[in-house]
Amino acid sequence: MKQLLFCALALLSLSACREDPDLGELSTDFLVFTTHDTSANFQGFSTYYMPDSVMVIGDSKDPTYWTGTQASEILDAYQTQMTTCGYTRTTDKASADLGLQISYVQSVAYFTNYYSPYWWNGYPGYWDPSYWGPWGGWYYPYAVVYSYSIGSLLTEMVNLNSSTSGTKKLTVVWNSFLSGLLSNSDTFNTTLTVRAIDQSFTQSPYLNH
Amino acid sequence: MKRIKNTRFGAAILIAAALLGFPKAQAQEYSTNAYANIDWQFNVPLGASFADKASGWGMNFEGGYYFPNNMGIGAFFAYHTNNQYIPRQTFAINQSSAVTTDQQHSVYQVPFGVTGRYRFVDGNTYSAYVALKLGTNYARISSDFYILEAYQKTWGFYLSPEVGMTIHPLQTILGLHMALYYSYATNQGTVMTFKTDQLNNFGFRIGLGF
Repeated sequence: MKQLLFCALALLSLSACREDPDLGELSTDFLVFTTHDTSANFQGFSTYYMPDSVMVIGDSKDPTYWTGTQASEILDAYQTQMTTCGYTRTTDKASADLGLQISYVQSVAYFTNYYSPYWWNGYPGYWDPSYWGPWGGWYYPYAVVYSYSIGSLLTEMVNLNSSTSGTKKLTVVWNSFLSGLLSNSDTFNTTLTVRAIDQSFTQSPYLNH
Repeated sequence: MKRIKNTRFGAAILIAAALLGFPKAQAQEYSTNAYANIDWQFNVPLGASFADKASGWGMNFEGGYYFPNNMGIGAFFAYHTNNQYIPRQTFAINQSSAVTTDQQHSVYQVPFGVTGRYRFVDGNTYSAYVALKLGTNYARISSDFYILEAYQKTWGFYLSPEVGMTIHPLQTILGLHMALYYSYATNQGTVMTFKTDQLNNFGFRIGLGF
């Protein structure tokens, strides 16, 4: 009887129950998530304004920015794609139809599920609607669900033709979330990032004129 | 992963040692109408499965009793995991959102229920049977991508015909059990945009028969 028990226990030791898939097999390419306002008429927009810097979201209450060569490859990639889609970059923020705000999550990771209230209110260093004009808040015409993990690049396209009366909310008509398994605060892979930026436009054909 | 493989190798050694070391003095004890099986199993998903890569990540446990007319009844419990790597692709999540990523799909099944058996060969060292298993199938269907996992837990009706045999080469109660099976379950689920409608599998089992 001891042998029986011995065999049974040995066989039971084979049982690791659920076998997790090999996550090491996953690609190092970035996950590219995009969402948009399905009621927006992107063909009605012709110009856009894009700052010459990338906001870096970190632990500091005060915002920091990448400028110069550190940001240029990212900004160039966006400009190339926006031009391909038929939009013209302008340096006059007040007259632009669209605005592009680009943020890099360097040292803050959290998950959020937006419905209400506005999750970004009070978050240190995030873009403020007043940067774009006389708006008092953001309006997302879709549910935004994504993981804000370290190494993520977040891009939002705002409609600068949004009404400044009434609720005075600035509509975010398109956004993207780019992040990869190799991303971390110490490493920024420009090649993968630019490839992901290109993919974010490829999978958003409604942006094309 | 390496740790699991090492554990399995060690377990296989222990089983072999137990089989060889089992005393022949117990030769008469196995001629009983009760039976039990503990098996490792290899499962092959059929059709357009959510995760269609065949694997040996599963076990089957079963026990029951044969009546004098060689009809038997018992109970079973099994589990199995099949995974599949899904290359990078773009797919819509809803009307407004799209995502581009690669994934690891996984289907973890746990069927359990009752077994009806008919033993058509009943020799001293060899017995063979056909069986039909009926029960419930729990299936966890999941997709791992990036650092996230989307999953759904589903339940369905389970049906599985099986043919098998048990050999007692050492004339002891402990024997070698082998079986071929097909299984069908009515589980349905959707993970992101990937739908699962019914689970079909076939495979084989090798283990111990008592």
